[in-house]
Amino acid sequence: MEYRANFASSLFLSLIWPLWVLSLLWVFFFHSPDLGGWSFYEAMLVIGMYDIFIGLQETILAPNIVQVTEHIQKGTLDFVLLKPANGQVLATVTACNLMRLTDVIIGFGLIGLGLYRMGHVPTLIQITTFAVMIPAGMITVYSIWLMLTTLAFWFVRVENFGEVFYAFYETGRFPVTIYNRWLRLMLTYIVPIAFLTTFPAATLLGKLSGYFVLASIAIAGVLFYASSRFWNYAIRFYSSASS
Amino acid sequence: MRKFIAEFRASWNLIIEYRIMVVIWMLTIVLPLIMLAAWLSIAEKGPVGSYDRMTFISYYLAALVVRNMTGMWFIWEMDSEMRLGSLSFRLLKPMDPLVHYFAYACSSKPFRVLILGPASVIALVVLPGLKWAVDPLNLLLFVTSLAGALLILFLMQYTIGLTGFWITRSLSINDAWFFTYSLASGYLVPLDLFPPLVRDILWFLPFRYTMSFPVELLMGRLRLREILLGIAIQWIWVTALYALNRWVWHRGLRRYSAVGA
Repeated sequence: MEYRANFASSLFLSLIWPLWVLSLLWVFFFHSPDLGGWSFYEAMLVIGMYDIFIGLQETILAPNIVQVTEHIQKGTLDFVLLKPANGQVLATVTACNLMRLTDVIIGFGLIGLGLYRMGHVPTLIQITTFAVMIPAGMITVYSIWLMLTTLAFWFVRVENFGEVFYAFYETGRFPVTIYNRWLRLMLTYIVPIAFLTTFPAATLLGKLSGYFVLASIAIAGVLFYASSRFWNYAIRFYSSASS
Repeated sequence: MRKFIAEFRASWNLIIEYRIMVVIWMLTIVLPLIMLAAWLSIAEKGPVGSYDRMTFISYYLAALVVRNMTGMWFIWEMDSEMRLGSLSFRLLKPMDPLVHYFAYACSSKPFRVLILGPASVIALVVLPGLKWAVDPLNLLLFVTSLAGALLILFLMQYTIGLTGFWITRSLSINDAWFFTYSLASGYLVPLDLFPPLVRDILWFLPFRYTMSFPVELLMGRLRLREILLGIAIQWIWVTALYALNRWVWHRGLRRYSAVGA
C-alpha cells in the first residue's frame, strides 16, 4: 500500500514539474513571439528532452553513483572488483530506480504533443539522427558522472560535485540559443549540455546540421574513453593503497 | 534566549565544517539566472513592460540575495530526525524543537552575509547602472523586510515538517510548496509580468512577501507608504503562521504520544 502511495505521489510530482516549466514558458510567450528563435511548441520539445534525460539519469546513473561512492567510502569496492566480470560495469550499472521512468515517459509525451501541435511529422532521417543522439547523450552523461565519481577516491564528499553538475544541467531546460555567445559556446563544448537537450530537439525539427550529429557521437566516444582511463587509473591507485 | 545562542553556536560550528557544502548550495541557485538569460534574450528587442535589460539584471541579482538570506533547508534534517526517532530525544529536552530548528536555520546566514556583502558591492561597482536603491534608510527597510520574509518562510517549512507526525512524505509536500513558492513569490518571474488577474490573486498570498516585496524594495520601486504597508502585512502573516504552527504542533504532540513514542 505504501509502495503504491509512493508511486502515485512520484507520478504526481513527475507531472507537476513539467507543468511548472511550461508555466514559465507560457509567461515568456505572453510577452514575446519567440524564445531564442524557438516557437512555443518547438521549445516544448527541449523541455521534453530535459525530462527524458533527467529521467534516464535518475533511473540508471544516480543510484549507481550513490552505490559506488558508498563502496569507496566503506572500502567494500574490493568485493566488487574481485568478481570475474568487468569491475567498471558491475560497479556502475547494476542499481536501478524504475520509478523515475515516469519522467522519461512524460518527456516523450511532451515531444509528441509539441510535434502534434506543430503538425510536424519528422522524416526518417530526422528520427534516425534523433535516435542516435539520445544514446550518445547518455554515454556523455555517464562518462562525466564516472569522472566525477572517480574523484571520490581522493575527495570523500564527492556527492557535492554532483550538485554542481545538476546546476549546469538546469541550463538545458530552455533552448541554448537564449544564452549569449560565450555561454552558448561553453555549454556546447565544455559542459556539453546543448548536446543533451537542445540539439536532439533541433534535429527532430530538421534544424540541426549534420556536423553536430557527428560531433555528439565524437564527444560521447572521447569522454567515454577518457573516463574509463581515469577510472582504471584510480582503481590501480586504490588497490596499491589498500594492499 | 541563551538556549538560542547555544544552539546557534553549535550549528555555526557545523556550518564552518561544511562550508564547502554551503558554497555549493549557493552555486546551485541557478534557476533564476537561467530565467534571467531567457528574459535578456527577449529584452534584446525592447523592454518587457517596465523591465528593460538592466532592470531584469537588478531584479534577479536581488532575488538571489533574498533567496540566500531567507532560504530554508532544514526540513531535510527534520525529516531524517523524525524517521530515525531522534525527535523523541529532542522532545525530552525542556526546549521547544522550534528553537533548535530556528537556530539551525539562522546559523548559515552570517556566513552567507560574508559572501553576499562583498559580492553585492562588487556588483554595484561592476554594473554602474544597477537599479538598487542603496541609501541607508532603504537598506535598513530592506533588512527589516528580510527578517519578515525569513520568519514567514521558516514557519511555513517548520509547519510542513511537522506534518511528519502524520505522514511519511512531508518532503513531497515541501516539493509542492516549492513549486508554488517559486512561481507565486516572484522568485522565477517578476510578479509584474504575470497577467493582471494572476497578479491580483498573488497579492493576497504570503508568498509575495517572501521575495517580490523585498526585491522591489531593494530596487527602489516602492514608495515609503507601500514599504511600511508591506512590512505590516509581513508581520500579520508571521502571526497567522505562528498561530497555525502552534495548533499543528499541539495536535502533533498529542498524536505522537498516543502512537507511543
